[in-house]
Amino acid sequence: MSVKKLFTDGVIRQNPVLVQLLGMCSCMAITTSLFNGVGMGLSVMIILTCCNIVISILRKVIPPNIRIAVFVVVIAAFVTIVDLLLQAYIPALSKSLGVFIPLIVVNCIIIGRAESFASKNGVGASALDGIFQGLGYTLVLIVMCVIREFIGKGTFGGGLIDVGEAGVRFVTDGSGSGIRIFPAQYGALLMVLPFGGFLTLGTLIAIVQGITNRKHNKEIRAGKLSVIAALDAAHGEEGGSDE
Amino acid sequence: MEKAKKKPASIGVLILTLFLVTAVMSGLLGLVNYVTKDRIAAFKAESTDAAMREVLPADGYKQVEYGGGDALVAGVWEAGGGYVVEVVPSGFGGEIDMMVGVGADGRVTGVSIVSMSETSGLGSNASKPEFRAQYVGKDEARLKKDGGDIDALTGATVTSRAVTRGVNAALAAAEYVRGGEGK
Repeated sequence: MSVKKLFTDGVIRQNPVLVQLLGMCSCMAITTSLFNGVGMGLSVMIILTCCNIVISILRKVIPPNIRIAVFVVVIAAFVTIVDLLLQAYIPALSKSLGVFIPLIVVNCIIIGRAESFASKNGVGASALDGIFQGLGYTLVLIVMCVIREFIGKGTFGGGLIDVGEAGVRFVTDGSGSGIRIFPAQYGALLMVLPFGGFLTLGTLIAIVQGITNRKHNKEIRAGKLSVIAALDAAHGEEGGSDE
Repeated sequence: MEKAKKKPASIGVLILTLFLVTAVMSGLLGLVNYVTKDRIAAFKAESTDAAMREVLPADGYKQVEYGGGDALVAGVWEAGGGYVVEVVPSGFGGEIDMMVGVGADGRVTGVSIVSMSETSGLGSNASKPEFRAQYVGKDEARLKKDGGDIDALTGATVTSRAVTRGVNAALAAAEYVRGGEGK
């Protein structure tokens, strides 16, 4: 399993949100400002990497019939650790993300990767898988934050970038106003509401699926391939990379 | 899967494995909790203190008994003639924990949000100074929508109403405590 393959799998081909369709709840709930997106993405990346490493180390000693219970204990422990650390060192982020940090426990990306990757692969590969899958998740959050914040509020980098008398600078306490691109009153409020999250995520999934499946789509249009055969082929590819 | 070929583990092995994993993870959690708990407690105390100082500056705050029976009121502190009242009205996403300063003249001196879980980007704007400043100097708060003169937050009427309810509850509580002292 090469590093490059793990990277492209995590970021595009097997992107946790856009292709595996996991962790969509947090994706729609917190992507209202760049500060939230970056913070949540990094938290998930750290937790996912730690869990993958521990589960990969333990994979030979965990009896298969209680593996899920062990995964849940490991995941819950790491989520609580990150939650405590955030409360102690980045309280603004902890306040802003609120309940979504503890809810990472039930985020399907983490248990999904534990079950389908870390429990079957070595420690090094599992650690890289955690980093790259976490990166894929973070990138989706960032793209969604940028789109929703721009259309909804007319700013870029809310919470993270502050434009004030001191000029443009980065802040880590979530107080940044963001770079204003157009006046706030023209913002489409619905994009900041959960409803806008559904719209943005649906559009993103459609675009990425359209691009990654363009070869099959072309053949279907040319009448060379039936839709069912294309689905079978796509499914076969994914299955092949997992098992 | 290779594991499937092995014979199933006995109940003893299952219990032991689960016990060990849980024990190690609890140990780790205990350690992190030990390292962070002072910092978290200090930060919480600091933010409560800062919130009180922000709404009504005073040399010291003395908690006083509140027997008024309003469930929204979580605590009342006496501060140099005025009162700081902690109220917890229910907003859109749960309780909003806020501090309201009431001056000696029975008017609001400041409002500060300690913690809340309102919708990020909408209700969460209640913590912005522009919104909170509207309550200063009022002896009764009401939104424009409800016939008053306070601008509600865009797209977050529920949150705005909750904060307004909290401010009114705080005013009533301060009045109650003041009345009790006079007797």
